[in-house]
Amino acid sequence: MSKFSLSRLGWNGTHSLITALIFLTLVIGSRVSDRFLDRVYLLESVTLFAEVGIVALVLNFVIASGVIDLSVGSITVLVACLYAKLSAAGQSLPVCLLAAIGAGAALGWTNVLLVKLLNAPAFLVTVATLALYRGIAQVLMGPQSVEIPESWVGIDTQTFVGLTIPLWILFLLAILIGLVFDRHVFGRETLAIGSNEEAARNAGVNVSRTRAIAFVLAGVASAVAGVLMVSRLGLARHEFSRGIELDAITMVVVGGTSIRGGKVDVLGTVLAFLLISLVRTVMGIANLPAEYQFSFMGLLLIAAVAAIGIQPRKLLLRFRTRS
Amino acid sequence: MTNRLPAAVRESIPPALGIAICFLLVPKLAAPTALESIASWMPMLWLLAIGQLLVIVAGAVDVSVGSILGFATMALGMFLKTHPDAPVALSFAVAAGVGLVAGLINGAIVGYLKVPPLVTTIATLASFRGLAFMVSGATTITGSVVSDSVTNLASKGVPIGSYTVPWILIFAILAALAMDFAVKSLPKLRSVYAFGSNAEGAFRRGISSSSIYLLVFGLSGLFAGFAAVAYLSRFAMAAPGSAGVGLELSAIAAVVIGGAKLSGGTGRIFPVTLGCLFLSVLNVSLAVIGVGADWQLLVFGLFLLAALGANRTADPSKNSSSATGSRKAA
Repeated sequence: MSKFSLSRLGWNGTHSLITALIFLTLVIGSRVSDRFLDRVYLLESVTLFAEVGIVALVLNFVIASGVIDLSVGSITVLVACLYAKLSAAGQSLPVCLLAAIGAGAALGWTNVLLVKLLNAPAFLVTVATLALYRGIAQVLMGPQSVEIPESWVGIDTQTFVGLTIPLWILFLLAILIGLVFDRHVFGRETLAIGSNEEAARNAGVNVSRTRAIAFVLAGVASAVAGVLMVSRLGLARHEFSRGIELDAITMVVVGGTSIRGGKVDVLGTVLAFLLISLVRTVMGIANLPAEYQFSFMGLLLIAAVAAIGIQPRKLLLRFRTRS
Repeated sequence: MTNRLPAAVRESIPPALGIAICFLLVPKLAAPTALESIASWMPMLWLLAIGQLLVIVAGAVDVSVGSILGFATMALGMFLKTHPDAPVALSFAVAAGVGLVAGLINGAIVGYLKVPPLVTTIATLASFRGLAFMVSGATTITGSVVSDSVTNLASKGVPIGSYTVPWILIFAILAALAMDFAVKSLPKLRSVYAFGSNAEGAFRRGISSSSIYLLVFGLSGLFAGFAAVAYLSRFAMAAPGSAGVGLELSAIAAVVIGGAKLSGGTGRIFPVTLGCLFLSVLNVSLAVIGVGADWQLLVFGLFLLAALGANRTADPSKNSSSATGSRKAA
């Protein structure tokens, strides 16, 4: 027991596999372009995906509890549009930021209320709010784009000790979420609900409250992503961030979190974020159109879930020995 | 008290009321031009919804149908580019074949790889959209390519009085009647209902989940292929980035409005048909009263929520346990 090993830190086979794939991607990328391995370029391109990574990290709570939230991309774009509108109306930076985060929480809470009110499956309610929230953004903005004041432009280019601000947010958030799942009651209860809802309820877990918190957190994370997005682009349009729920869910699932709930892997999500952002960058410099990249993400998602589904018994054993 | 009514009647009430309200509020809908645009909207949605219905009956959901429609439309467009004088039956065969293969891929992933239906079809929603770009080389299918044999499906038809029923609508009616008959009489399709209401029990009676998933997703893809013909006949052009985008939402909404339970096991063609008619009427009424394109997505989201509310199923415990739509596949 005293022998130091990576597995005691929670390192597992999935992590090794993703790390190997990251290196493979780096090698392929350096073959596609000489300048790929440039430190600044890599930092910039990974920062581009930090928004999705942040959403993915928090989506872990929702998915680990056995449900899914498909409205995150629409919350992101609606919050971005709200931010742009507010700042264009002359509100100060802190007011805009607070309003944006508050709006994210409110939209997440709306999902919860609707699930309860309509007594419908969460995924269908969030399919409806996916349309609704983006629809509100479209009505709010019309066809134009709204620029934001200089004071909040370009947070993605500011670095602190070698990393950009969005990446700092992402990594600190990962540590926080890892601790919550490992140590905090909320994280443990989320996992309990995901592995067996009925048993968790019988054990005194407040299932609906725990799930509600997960949805609100996902809304807040999407709002953070939206605020970072406006800062990066300097403007907001209603058709931004379409389909990022696929990216986010893929990061979560490739990282080793079970799509059926009950098992979470925060470190895996971070590694999957690095892998996917590098792969997308390589595909970008290889001039692959965005739609082809989406196709690839789809395949990756299926492959990741199928890889788990094919050997359920093995997985179960690993579960038992670990917990 | 409404429980005394036969289920088919009970499930038809909400969409029928919706249609009636639209006609009451928007009298201009009775004008021939408005009726014609309803009739041209309806077949595409109807075909998609019939396919979607069986998937939902099996307790799953298929959100990739919009992309399958896009893929099949682009494939058909490319086919017409090289074979401008192909007979219309061949056009149907090409689109339906592409749709069927795409649907079977979904079914195989869900049935054999045991990936939850929602996750599978979110992923293939992206993948099939990519295929739509690949098959067309990211080019747009223009009106000059689409042969008259295809556009005539929407513009010509059987005259009834001063009004023409387009061929494609007649095709959709026949397809719906055929499916209604098949669902009532073919044992294999009956077993989809058994599977949807109780997967465990169906398994014990010797119904394998993989064959059910292959069947329902295959049919859903096939009907999305038919819908692709309807799309091309109506618009006479198609772009890989826009053909069929978001139509999965309308198809699911039509099925939900038509009273099919999301937890699986029930769902009838006739009420779903009224659901499609309602959505088509709604769409045209919004255009008639001048609600701009900017508002459509918002209104649509609200209606899907309203439909979910109207559809509140009788068995909440069952409903909440299928919250991700994934447990059934486990």
